[in-house]
Amino acid sequence: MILKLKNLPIRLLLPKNKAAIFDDKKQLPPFSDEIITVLSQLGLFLMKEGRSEPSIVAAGYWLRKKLLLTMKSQYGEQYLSAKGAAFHIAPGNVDTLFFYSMIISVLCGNQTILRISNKLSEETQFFIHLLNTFFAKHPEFSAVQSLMNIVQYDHACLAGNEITQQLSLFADVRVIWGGDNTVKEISKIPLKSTACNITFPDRYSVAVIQLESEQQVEQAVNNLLTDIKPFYQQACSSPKAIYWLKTAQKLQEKFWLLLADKLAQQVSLSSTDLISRLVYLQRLPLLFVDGQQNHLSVSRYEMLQQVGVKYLPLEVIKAHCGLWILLSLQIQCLTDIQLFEHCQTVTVSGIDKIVIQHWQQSVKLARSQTVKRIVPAGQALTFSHIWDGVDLINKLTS
Amino acid sequence: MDWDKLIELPIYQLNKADKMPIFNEHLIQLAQHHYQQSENYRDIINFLYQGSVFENEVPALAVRLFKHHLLKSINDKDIFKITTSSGTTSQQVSRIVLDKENISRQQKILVKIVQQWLGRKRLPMLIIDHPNVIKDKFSYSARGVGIQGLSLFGHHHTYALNEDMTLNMNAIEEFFEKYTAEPVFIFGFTFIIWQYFIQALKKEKTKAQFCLRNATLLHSGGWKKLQEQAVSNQEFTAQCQQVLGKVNVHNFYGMVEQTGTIYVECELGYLHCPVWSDVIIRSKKDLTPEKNGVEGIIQVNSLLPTSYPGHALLTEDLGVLLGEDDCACGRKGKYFRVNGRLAKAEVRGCSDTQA
Repeated sequence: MILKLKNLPIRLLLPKNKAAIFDDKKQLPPFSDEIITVLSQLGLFLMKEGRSEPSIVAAGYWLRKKLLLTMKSQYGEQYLSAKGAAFHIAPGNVDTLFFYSMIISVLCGNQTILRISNKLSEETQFFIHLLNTFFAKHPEFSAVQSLMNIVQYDHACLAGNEITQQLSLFADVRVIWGGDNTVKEISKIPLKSTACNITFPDRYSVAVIQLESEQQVEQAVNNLLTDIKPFYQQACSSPKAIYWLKTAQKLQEKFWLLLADKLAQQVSLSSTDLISRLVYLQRLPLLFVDGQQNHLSVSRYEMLQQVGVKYLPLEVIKAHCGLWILLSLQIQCLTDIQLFEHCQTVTVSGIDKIVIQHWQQSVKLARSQTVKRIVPAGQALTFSHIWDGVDLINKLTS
Repeated sequence: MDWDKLIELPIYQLNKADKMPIFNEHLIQLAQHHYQQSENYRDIINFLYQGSVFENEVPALAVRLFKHHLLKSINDKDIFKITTSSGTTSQQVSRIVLDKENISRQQKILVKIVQQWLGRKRLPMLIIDHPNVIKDKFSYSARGVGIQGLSLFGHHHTYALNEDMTLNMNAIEEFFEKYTAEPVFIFGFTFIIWQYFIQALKKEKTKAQFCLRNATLLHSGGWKKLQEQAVSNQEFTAQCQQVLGKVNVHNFYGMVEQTGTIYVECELGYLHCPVWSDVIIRSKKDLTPEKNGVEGIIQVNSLLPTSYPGHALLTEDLGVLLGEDDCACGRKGKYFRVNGRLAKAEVRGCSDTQA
């Protein structure tokens, strides 16, 4: 089937200056040598040309041939074929996630159409510019390029809704990032009867830290900083709360001071953000049920706002606005961590591997709780093809 | 608080040295009242502002808090009305809890202030809106509250628009013919006046011009939509006068969260603080008090609210404090300008694909 979006207000950002015409016959075998060659070349190009932007370098690094081949070997035993056309709705402003969503889909050989936000950061504009530059330089990669389409349109207006409808009916699989509201809204728009949705609803993440000596403090601070500094701590995999496992108060204090210092040097907030942060802080005691708010304490640094809590109600974490507010809790063992279904990533720092494995087992056994992803501190934002418990490769192939 | 005395204070005549001791004393009393009566307010103060409470400065609540929580300092049985903001620009609306005493006080203060600009006599009143906007009795929208509140200053209330926002030309012509020679009062929201009244009248072929001889037009409600069309305050006033005739145009600033204490623009185009309220401009960088002449975030303090803790509010509006006690119009107190709203909070997380 060929989809022509004529006379509709849609802009094609990649490939630039082309008409929005998509053909679901254009697909390749998943993990084909051609795809892996082109993507690993693209990775090298991004690392070189995008070196001013750490997120672009990270994306380039992620495309290294070795990693792509490892992924292939994990799935290579199975006979896989592409789904056909994949329509991705990228998250608002976690600037680089759009890329991973698209790349995984292209790796699976799908004709991929990615819708991104109308408001792009300079970083993302530069990123897309690099993609265009790369393919302009390599006309021989056109087969793989034709799988990659980035579009932009105003989804809120009538014509925009028409575009979403047509793309949805064209798609064999639709990937919806962007939390509960977006999932709810987009899911109302019908798909082909044979097509399926992959959805990513609202999630939050936490960190568990155990410190035993002063020497460990700086590394732990740096790792947390890596996880919370990008995207104003608003990415769903950035930790919002820290569980301190049997860690002396003195070490915690040292940690907070150093973190506060580094944050103040590296980030700043707009007035709008200052107000959003104040709103959350003022809401905090009102989000606890009777009596529990009395256990709250707060240390306000220039940038960092550290809030001591005894319990962590879901409402408190759901309302969290990022902007470098960290909730802090004390635990004696990992099973003290109260996990909700909404918990996505747990980063761990300074904790024995066996202890973690044991905990993971017990959580699995209890079944009432799930930990979708446990990663070492510092890797919260590293993309994985298994995201939020969803095996994307599996879902994007048949 | 002794409202019998407070209400008699001269509205624009006290200078700083005379006003602030009275104002601050009462603001602190009011903060203590809310601390005792509102559990939520007490929790917020205990959590964030312990220690310094009420000694020099009364902490301001973020006005957005009223969109998330119903904050009250009275018993449920005493709630007489809950007013809401219009909610045109955001989905969530503020909810403000009022008892009879507060509603009555808001009205009285509003009367006092508006009389300074309209005179004491009720005037024939043209409302630039449609009559159904004030229909719902228990939950008024901000538009309804505004119209309801200012209706007190008029008689022969005439609505200029039909429910579909088209001109009700019969009503308008009848009103203007009847009252051409005498003072009249025209009220509406800035954007509605501009778009559905002034611009619509200009398009009307038959009688695009009227010759009012003594009218006062009060308007309020934000400039955002007009800024998008690049319409300045001066342009707005000029076009009103061109279409309507001799009319004094006064913008005013106010919000549903502090109904009553409105800030009316003087002949020189500056908004004036009445004696029962205070304006503080806060730094865009760290929310500390800002110098005169520098744009910052507007905080409004008011002595009126006792049924809800809205006595000190940090708005999401930007403004500049221009001076105190020395406006060339002769009025005492602080005077300022409103520059618009803060940029909307950008959703950066994975949790939104809107925008």
